[in-house]
Amino acid sequence: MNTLILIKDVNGDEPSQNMMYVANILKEFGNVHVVTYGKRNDYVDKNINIHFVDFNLQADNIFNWTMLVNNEIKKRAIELNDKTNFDIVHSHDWTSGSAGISISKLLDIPLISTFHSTEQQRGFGSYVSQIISDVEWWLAYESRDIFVTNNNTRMSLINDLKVPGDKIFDSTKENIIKVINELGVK
Amino acid sequence: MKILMTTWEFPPMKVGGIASHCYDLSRELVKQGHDVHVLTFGNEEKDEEIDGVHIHRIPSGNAPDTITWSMFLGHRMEKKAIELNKEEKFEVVHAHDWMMVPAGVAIKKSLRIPLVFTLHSTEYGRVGINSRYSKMINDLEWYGTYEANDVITVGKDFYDEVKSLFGVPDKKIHYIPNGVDIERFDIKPTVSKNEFAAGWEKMILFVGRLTYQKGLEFLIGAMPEILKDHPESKFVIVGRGEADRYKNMVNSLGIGDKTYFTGFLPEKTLISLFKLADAVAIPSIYEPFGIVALEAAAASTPAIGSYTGGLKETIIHERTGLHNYIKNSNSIKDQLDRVLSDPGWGNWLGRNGRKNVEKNYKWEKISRWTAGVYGKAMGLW
Repeated sequence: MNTLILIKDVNGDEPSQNMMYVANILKEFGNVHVVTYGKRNDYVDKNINIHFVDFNLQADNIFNWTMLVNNEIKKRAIELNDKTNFDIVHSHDWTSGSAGISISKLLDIPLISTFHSTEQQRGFGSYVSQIISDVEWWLAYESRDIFVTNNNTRMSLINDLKVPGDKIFDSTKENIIKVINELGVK
Repeated sequence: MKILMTTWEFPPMKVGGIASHCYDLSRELVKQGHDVHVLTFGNEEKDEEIDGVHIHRIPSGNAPDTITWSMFLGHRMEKKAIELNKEEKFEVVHAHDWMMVPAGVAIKKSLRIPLVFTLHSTEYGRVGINSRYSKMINDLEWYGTYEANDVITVGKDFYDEVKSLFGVPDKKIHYIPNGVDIERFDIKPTVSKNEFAAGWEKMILFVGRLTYQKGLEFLIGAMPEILKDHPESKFVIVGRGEADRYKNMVNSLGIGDKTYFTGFLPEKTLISLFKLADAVAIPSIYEPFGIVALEAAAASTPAIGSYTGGLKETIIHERTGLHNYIKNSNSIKDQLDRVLSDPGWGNWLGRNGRKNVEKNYKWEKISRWTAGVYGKAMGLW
């Protein structure tokens, strides 16, 4: 079972540490490729295939920039799929959401997501917060299963984004293996 | 060819000229045997077919401004394109103007098909690059030309503007003018002149968005002098925008009773006005193409327009209409005076305009050229 992981940054922050943890579990099932924005850095786990994409257009806000970067992430992922047929795609947060949704539909493979936080949790303090929240809603909606890294995020998904609680799991090794087994992909 | 077109506006929604352009182009492409799907904005998701064109209306999200709106709409259009492509196998995606750059680029990268990008105007020309917001629009326009396999511009001057503004290589930039659906103008007027002007008045028509770019203030500046020589003149102003500002302007000149602001008009009424008018004034400051000049010509009415951008081509001075100097009320007055003083000559100009449109601006021709660019983008030639 080959997994494609999408995440905006791999820089040692909490989401990228969690991503590495999950990637190492998924490696036991098959090939894992991570596509992310930026440049190779010291936090990168040598055991994981990480592909960095570049994007040089400065946007006027984080939402617009993220939507455009997702096109580059997606393009690289589609190229990788030519060699490694992916069986699942796993997006981390809304910042890799639109690429994950597109790839899931394009390749007809299930979409899994991990939410490390929601826009509501982050304070909803920007003029683009509502549209970011819209993307979070869509990501949650299109995801077959959702992992969370803390209970507040679980509650926010349920209360703010109206996500059914039975598709939300804590990001533990046990749950990851359970979800993978239920997918029935070999 | 299997063509996927993306345009933020498509009839019945119509704000600028892009809706008509895409409507006429897509219908004509279908007539010529191509398969055309159009992705456009709609308040709710809906698939329909008009004149053989498959239209898919897609909503956006709760966006705070037009750029983020276009980003989200782009993503949703891309999802729709992926879904449609499972059956359709599109060969080319054609995006119109910056608002469709996110959709066009996303679809190009997802479906791995060539992107053709038409620019109808630029932010630089419309308002100038004077804020973070307009810089982002300018960047998106650049990004569209960068990602596109081929770029279409709608005017000769505009071709040069786009080429130098965004550094587009010669081999991928093209000039294809807009077309006019001439048959649409071959109707009997559906309204009576009396609804807009008295029977004895001469109607001078302005059609366009009421914004600075369209130069209405310079026509208004010319009105008092025109009315001195031609008190029978009546200025009918069609379009939406900053109507109050322009109404205040004419009222403060004391000529409110010689102007009529109609607001938005249905197509048949507008075509009737083009036919009933004695002259069409196009005082634009920035006009990459200037479709209004061709619409006047299709109605056999002489156009008096600024010597700028596309109007340099769409009006042939003293042959199909007259040119005035840009931002120059005196010049507008002088040229309008020539037509109003010699109605027979005005009619002659109008008839010549019609012949010119029939010869050079039929959609049949324009859409064949456009399909030629698709073929180039696809690597057929």
